Amino acid sequence: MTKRCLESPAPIDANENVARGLYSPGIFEDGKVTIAAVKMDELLPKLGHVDQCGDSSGVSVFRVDQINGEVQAKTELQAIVNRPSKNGIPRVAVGFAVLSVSAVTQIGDGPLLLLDDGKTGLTSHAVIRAPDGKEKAALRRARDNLVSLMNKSLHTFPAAVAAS
Amino acid sequence: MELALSSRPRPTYAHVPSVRYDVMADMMSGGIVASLDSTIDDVNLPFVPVTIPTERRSRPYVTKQLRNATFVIGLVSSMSFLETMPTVAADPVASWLSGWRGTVASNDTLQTFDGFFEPVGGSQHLAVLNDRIDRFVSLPAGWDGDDGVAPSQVAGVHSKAFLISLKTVNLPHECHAVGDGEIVLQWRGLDSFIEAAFDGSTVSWYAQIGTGAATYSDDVFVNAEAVDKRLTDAIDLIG
Repeated sequence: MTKRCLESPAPIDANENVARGLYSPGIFEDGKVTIAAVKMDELLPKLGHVDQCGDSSGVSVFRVDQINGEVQAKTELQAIVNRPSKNGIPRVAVGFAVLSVSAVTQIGDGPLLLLDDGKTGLTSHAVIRAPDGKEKAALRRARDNLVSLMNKSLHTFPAAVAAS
Repeated sequence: MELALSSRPRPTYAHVPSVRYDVMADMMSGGIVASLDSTIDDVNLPFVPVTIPTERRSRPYVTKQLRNATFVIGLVSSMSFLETMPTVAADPVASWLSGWRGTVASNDTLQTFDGFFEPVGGSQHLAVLNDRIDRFVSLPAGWDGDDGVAPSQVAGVHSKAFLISLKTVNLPHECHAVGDGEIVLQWRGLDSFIEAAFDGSTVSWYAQIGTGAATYSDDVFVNAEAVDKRLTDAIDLIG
């Protein structure tokens, strides 16, 4: 397997982990992540996937076992939280779901792909997506399974723990 | 002056007993010596030295060098990061969460948002589901923190029409909004899963009962009675 993006540190390995930053209370209910955390349009955009290293389409994650992966994950989460929201409702950092690559790519009824997507400054960026050409309906259980994985590996910031 | 940064590939979390971060600044000696030491127990780490010429010891230049070294990217809007961060020997993910300095969700914010939706609470009452749908269609833009849109009024009408067409015992176990404008109904059973999503023009559904083959389709929503019989049959089995 070769890496896809020049700035990525290495090809994605089945034994590594990726972290998904979670930053909106709106995707939680009863302390659990709901399917609102993963839009179907992220897994499978209507107009097909965009491939532009660092900004490719898909569910954005960070390869936290790679050098700087943790720092980049946190930095990006902070940047998103600091970004003004459209509706004035502030984003708040809730935590991270840390997923093993093998668990994500072994989700049935997909399959889901995990692609390296590094760019300068965000070398550990990666995306989870469905292959182009799949039917949206076919991905519904895969999306649900992905959210279940997130809930199994949810790490919330200390202030958020009490609510979960 | 020399800026020393340690670097090594990080092992997978399954094998990491602890992670320690030490960031040390010494600006008293007229220079800046910083080390970001991401240490795994007692393993000796190779250092990657970055030399900062004395005449270029300005804050922006040092910051740039740190960025070039691809360490602490983005955290260095000022030199305030050069202080001791907590030493944590526990779950490595917890360790980086504890180092977080930004705004975090509080007990109140999460609970407030929970209260925004009337929980289904397992009661599967049509009135409760309808109330949730009413709330979904009036969600503000960006409600999911990710530029999400509220489901359309039409999506609300379609999903409610479908709910009314079901027997009471077949009402869904979960009902969610998603930021791409869908209202999603879900049924769960032992090894079984059904999802039907309404976006105002289509009903996109997936059904798998037990170890049987999954069926799914993206269909134009005409009316509740015209919904694919494979979906309603599956709901009859799981309901």
